[in-house]
Amino acid sequence: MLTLLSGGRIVDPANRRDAIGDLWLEDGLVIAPPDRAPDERHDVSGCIVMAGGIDIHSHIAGTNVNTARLLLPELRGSAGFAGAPESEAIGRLYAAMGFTLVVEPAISPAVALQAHRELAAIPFIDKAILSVLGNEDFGLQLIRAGEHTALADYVARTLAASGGLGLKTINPGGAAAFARNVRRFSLDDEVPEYGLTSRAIMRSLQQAAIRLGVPHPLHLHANNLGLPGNVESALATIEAAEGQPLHLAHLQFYAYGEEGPRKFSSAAARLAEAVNAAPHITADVGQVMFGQTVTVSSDVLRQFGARNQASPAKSALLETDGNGGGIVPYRYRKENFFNAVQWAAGLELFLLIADPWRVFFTTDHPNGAPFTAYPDLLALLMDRDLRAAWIAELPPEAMAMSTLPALTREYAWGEIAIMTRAAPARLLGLADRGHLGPGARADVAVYRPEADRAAMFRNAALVFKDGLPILREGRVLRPHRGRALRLSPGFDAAIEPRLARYYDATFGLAHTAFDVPAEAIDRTRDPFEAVPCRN
Amino acid sequence: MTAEALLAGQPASRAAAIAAAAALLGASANPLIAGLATDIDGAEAAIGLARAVGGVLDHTAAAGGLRDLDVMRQAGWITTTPLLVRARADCILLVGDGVGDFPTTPPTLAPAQARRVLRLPGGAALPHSLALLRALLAGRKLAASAALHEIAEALRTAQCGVVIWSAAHTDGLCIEMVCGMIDDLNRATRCFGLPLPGPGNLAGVMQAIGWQCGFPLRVGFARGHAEHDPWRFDAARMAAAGEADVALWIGAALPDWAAKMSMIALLPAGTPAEGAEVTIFIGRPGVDHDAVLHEPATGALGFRRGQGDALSAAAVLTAITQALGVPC
Amino acid sequence: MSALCLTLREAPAQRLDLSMLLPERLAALSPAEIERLPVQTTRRAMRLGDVFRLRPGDAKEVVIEGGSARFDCVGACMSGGVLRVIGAVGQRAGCEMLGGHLLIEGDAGPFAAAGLRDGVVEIAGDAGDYLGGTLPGERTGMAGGSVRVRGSAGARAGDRLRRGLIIVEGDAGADPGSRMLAGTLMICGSASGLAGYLMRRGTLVIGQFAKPGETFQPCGLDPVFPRLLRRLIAPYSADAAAMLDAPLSRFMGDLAGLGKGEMLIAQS
Ligand SMILES: [Zn+2]
Repeated sequence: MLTLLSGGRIVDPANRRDAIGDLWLEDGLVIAPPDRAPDERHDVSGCIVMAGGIDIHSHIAGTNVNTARLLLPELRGSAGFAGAPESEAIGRLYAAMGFTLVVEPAISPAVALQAHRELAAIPFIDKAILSVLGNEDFGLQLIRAGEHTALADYVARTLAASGGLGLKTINPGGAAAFARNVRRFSLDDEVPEYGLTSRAIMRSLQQAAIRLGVPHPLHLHANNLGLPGNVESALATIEAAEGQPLHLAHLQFYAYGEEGPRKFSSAAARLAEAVNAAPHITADVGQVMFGQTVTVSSDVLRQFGARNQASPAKSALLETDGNGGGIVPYRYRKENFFNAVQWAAGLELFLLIADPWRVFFTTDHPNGAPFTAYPDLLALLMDRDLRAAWIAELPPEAMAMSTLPALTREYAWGEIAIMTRAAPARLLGLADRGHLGPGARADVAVYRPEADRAAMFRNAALVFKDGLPILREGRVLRPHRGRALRLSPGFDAAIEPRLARYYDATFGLAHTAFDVPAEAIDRTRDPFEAVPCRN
Repeated sequence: MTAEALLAGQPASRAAAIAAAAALLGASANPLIAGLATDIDGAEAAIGLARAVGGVLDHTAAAGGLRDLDVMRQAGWITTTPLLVRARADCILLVGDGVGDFPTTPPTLAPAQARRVLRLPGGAALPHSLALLRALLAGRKLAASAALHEIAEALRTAQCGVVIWSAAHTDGLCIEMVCGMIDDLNRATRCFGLPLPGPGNLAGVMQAIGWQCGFPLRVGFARGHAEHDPWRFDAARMAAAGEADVALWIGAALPDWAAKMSMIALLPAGTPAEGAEVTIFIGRPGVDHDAVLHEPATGALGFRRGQGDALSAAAVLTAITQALGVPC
Repeated sequence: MSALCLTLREAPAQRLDLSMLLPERLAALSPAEIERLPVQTTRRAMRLGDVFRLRPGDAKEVVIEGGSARFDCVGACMSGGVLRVIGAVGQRAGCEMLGGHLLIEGDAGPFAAAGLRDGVVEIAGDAGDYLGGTLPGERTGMAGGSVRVRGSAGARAGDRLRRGLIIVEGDAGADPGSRMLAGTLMICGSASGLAGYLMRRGTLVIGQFAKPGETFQPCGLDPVFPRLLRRLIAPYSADAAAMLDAPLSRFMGDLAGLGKGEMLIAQS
């Protein structure tokens, strides 16, 4: 079917296009204007037309997310809580905002099958997982032995078996250290019994990803998340990357100094400066927004420490070989000094990191805020007056601990399109997404500008997925099922018998017990879409 | 040849049985979809059917699962997986009944490393023993048996202690006491709980209900959205109170309340189905057909290849849903 | 002007959600609107007018004439006024109530007054499990107000009680006062099971109880305390006040945890 979106303002920075014009879609792709009449025509004059949005870091599936659903029956249905929506709502609400690809960034290979089942239950959008390594005994043994080739094979085998689009490490070594009763763990602390520092683990995994040609750089959840003064950790981590590609997850949670009377301040300006000076670094923000949420993290050491601040006062922690996880409900409050500083620090990062190709739009859903807060956050980035109105309602002593009140930058449409479309596609290695040039996947979001920008972003006027209109102003036009994007990196099969011996001796299990065959996810269609590695 | 389905006890075609099931469910005022001893495909299809007919979902072993879940969501807990237990546990405490004889009970724990295995027997004394044990660990000077002192010392000095229980056999307050003790221990050392999963893929079904509905069992859809109410949607209670008029049952055998209402039974081939108006024989998940099930040995969902390609609960449930003629 | 009155036509064929029958809600509605309120919990649509005959009146007081164990959520989240049921109710009567006066002149099902915040709940008959307790899976128990049951209560009365007063003039089922955080739970009759299990703080008074668990330690009783408590509760229940006149044994617990709760037993 040939579809024409006519007369919209097409904001497509990847193709250096920002002009009123037509967009043609056929067979799921964007095509050059043909000399035929369209089968279907949508007049989108007055609207902004962009590629479908891409979220690189949002906890939408997996056992930890599901535990959050089971943990909080009293919050479900209550106004303003979208911390752990069911799969159907995740797909529908993301699509309503014009997002068409969301990456679940924290799946332990041992529970990848459930994560993919949950992804398959999310309608409308495409999705992917990042596979988490860096705390499991087998990997740590390889790193300790300096077996970098075997490590790369192991990483490749794990990505292939768990259906990952990239490699993530979460407080590398921290969970293994915590399992051995360590309570604080920084970049150069050693994991007991292994004699390995977090730095060494991070570097080994970073290089394994590079060696395999994984498009997405190692996705790092660094040490000391959320602690006052942890900006030093973040700065040291940027240094530790030694000029090689590294993605820092939810950077806001590491942008804290220890200044001021309460020994808690925003150090976002310093951190942004360091990111600006380090072209190999990318970061997503993990913005905090106010309201009830639930923190879902595989940084079990950190979540153990956060239990005392749980609201409602309950939590579920899981310890296992590898990362485990912790679910701690939390309410960010405007009146709370610390929460207000966190909110300001996130916005500072957005506004002070100069290159929109290297800063990514996330709330670390649901850790900083549910993704349903995105429209409000986008509005804040585009409007300094709106920011000033919010700032006026927050504790002045908190705002004094941040440079935010002095920042005047406003995101332009083109920068929004880079940050939420073009840059994520490039970061994940997806040539056919994030732009609207001929050959691009026909995932398209159409927004009708209005004074209330948040309302505009919450319900896109029209959303196309694979060339078909799926939602209009939040209402479903037709059902649609996306796929999970995955890599299939090659590796030396010699790692298989070695893993088999290890799993048998350590767990009494076949090493294939956790693999995710396509037929386990969907017997009627291929649930996956392959993404090539760079080599 | 054995019948593929029964209508009022007489052999019938599968298609006729599916049509009859759809007719019963479609006309029901308050249908139950219960038993739910099925794989993940079956659970998801059951949820789809429940949505379509405004039905109630309950699992035959939900009571035990809810006891565990209520400790998690009313008090919080620190748990682990069979993987960590096998690899690292140096002290294991088996609490109450239903935990079998270590290490033969599922999840089997390969004795790869030296570890102590201690036991607190079930029975009327268990809640008091657990309370005393926790009090001893908290440093209270209370009279207690030598055995309790030994257990306390073992947990206190363990590097990786694990306490194992089966909620099907253990009172909720006892589980909460255990989890409170584990929490106390983690101030100074590491100790974790390992709740053993219930039968009938309970843990897997609970997970699927979670991601599909946003709630754990028990769930009802009569008012057009998912409602979570463990008391109201208890299938046995509803049957006794005459609140449901039709039940679709997935399990090894019919429940003892089957005579209380019209029954649609999805049973393994050859199971007696006296009293069911509609019976459709299906394969055993992971045995007669491929299936995704919660694996007690790993504590995670896993894929099991079956020996054949028998009819699955999911296929039947999907066919019934389509036969309803309700747009989905 | 007399009370707004709803008279039961016939025993309902399904459980009903009567959570909307609140004085403050009904005051804002016309009789026709009230009769159109949906009350079904199954696929069979049911309006209030199908179940009850309405006699308009001043909704500051709402009277339900005729009860059923299928009337759920009567007085749930009520914040003021008087709601009187001449008959039985089902589960969750008065749960999460914020104020007002709920009278049940019959038996109540489970979770009566669960999560109560404030107000008065009186049950003339028996109460089910989790009287003044928590709702399934939720963390917050009763946090204020008062509850009086003339008959007996089911299991786990006062579970996770945080503040307020619960008086059961009859017997309690298993495990009363489990996980109490504070507040006062008085059982004039007998109790069974693990009374006060996991109790942190608060006061649990029981008429007859064989023996507290081993993590409750006997300790002395300041004679002033029962007199103070008597003064506090006398307006609510003569039976409970009389219980405090008898000699009481005092225990502290649950020493498995914080151990600052007290259990007073009249006869053991
Ligand atoms: Zn995250």
